[in-house]
Amino acid sequence: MTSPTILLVEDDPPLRTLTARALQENGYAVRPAGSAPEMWRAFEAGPVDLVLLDVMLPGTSGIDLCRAIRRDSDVPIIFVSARGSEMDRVVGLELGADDYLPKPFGTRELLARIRAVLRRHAPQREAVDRSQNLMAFDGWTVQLARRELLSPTGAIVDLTGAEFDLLVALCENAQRVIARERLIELSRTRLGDSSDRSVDVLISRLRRKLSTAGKSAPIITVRGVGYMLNVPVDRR
Amino acid sequence: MTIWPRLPVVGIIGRIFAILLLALLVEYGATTFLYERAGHFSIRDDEANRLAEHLIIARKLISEQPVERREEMAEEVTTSRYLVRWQQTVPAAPPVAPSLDRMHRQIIAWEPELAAHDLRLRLTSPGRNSYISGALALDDGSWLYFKTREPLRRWDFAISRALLALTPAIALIVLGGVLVSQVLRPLRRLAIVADQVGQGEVEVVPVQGPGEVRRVISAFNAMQDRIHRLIDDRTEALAAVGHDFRTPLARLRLRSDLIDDDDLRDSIQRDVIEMDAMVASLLAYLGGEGEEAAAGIDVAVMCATIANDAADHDRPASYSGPDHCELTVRPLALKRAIVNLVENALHYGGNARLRLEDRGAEVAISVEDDGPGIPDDAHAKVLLPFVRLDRARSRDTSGFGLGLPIVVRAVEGEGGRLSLVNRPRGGLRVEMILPRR
Repeated sequence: MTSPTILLVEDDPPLRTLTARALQENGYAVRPAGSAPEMWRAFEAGPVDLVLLDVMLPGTSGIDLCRAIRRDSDVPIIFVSARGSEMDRVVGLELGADDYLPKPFGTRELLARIRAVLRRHAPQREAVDRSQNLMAFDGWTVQLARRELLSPTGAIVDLTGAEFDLLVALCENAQRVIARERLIELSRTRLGDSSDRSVDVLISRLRRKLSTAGKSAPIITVRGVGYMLNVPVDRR
Repeated sequence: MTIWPRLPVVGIIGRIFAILLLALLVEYGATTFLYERAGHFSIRDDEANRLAEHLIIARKLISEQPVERREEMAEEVTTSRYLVRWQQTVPAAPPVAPSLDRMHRQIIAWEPELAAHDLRLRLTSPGRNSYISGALALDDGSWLYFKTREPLRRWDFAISRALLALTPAIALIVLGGVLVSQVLRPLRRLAIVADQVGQGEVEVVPVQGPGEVRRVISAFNAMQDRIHRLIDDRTEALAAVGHDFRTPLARLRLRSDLIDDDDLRDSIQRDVIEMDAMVASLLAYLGGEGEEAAAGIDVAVMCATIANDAADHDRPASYSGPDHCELTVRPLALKRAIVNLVENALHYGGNARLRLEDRGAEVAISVEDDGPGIPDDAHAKVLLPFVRLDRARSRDTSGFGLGLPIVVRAVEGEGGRLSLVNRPRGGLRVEMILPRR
């Protein structure tokens, strides 16, 4: 398998060099660009697997660029922004960016985000196209890009990173039992999070947070094996 | 709206002079009219007739008597209704007594004979009641003096006179009030807008009212413009600073990954995290990240998650309260506020107990610690930006001292209240009360 090609759009030359180096050292082919015109030329140079796009390029708004790329390409985009503003994040994600990475970021976090986005767009999982950013079950809605859970009444339900990842894993394997070991492995591979809270604790917290008046969360324990989300998940 | 449309602009002093002048004119006019009016008081015709007849008879009887008997006769013609006296000289008219021209005409009309005898009528009001008194000249130049003994149409007369006297005063009060409030109305508008400067949209105050007020309003509008331009410039500059500052931070962060020495790498990365947190707090406090829209959120779960996050990083934080509590707030601003309180409790108190209480119309969220608390006299001070109480003690504290000011802003943004209390057994308790909207 050839290494994935990443188009890196960043106007600060030293940061561009550092990021490119970090990516190359981790097995990615990098095509750097310092401006919008350079980015378009880089697109013509060959297929691109992912775009790492700085939102605040001089002369062009990264948001406009994102919209322009989306017009004729489905390539995964990760926004990189120094603003850290939630508004930028939401606007970017709604315009079709796949993830949002605030500056400053470390190598581990950068690689984790790229891997996660590439995994979501892997060719063997063609069924997962971009519009499938939502998973709904039992009235609850999981917004993958925004990493947000909405209750049946539409209220935002705030989860820790580990809890959200566990919920996504349960949803992706809905109505199938996931072994505890598999879940532990999943939580171990979570990068940029030093927490190693046991899966059982996370499950019990999720159950409390996903309960509604007079109704417990649809997560069941399969004794000796693992856990299961026992309701169907609707992907949209 | 002004009651002086399109007139040349008159100053406050001019307008107040005009109001005073108008008031004086009305007062003068009304008083003149009132005294004129007194001459028009009439009595019922039968009363006038009776008085006229009594006067004719009394005059006749008294005139026929010799001078030394006249006083006696006057006593005799005094009835329960009229008091009659005789004297050589004309009786002095009471000091304040309007003459009664109309009544005079009524009496003369009934007994024209009296016209030849210099009939004089006066209205006297020794107390609340009014009486008619008067004099009549006899042929030899002596005078017959008379007075009604029963108050004249007591009540309606007194009331109508009182009302009449009050009318111009009431009219003056109303007119003066309306005029002065018209003059001051643009100032009130100005005060309302001035209270809201910096809390959102620019609202231009219409330039109207007296000259001085117009100048103040124009100056205020210009000042408001400048303030908003300054705020916008500063906000943009801050966003740019955020960008400019975070790019070298990102370089530093990536470079630190290349360091082999674990301790050095970790300490540099901690510094980067701290600097980034400082930029974030500055942007949060100064509003460099734009306005956030309100949304429904489960604040109980949010509090639990904040405590869980801290606990997952081996910090002693706990949550107690209901599992669910939905509230419409600005989620990120509120989360940042609660996180700041928890961080403060962990940093200064060593632990954090997060509590939520749903009181129906409002929701109370409190954070307690078992630390030393904050001296009572410093409670107001810690809410101010860039204040850190322990700076003098040079304790290890990060940030700009914007933690609590950001909480204050967030709570104000939700229309809530914030309170700091030292708990009796030690430790600080910070409570925010958020209204349910």
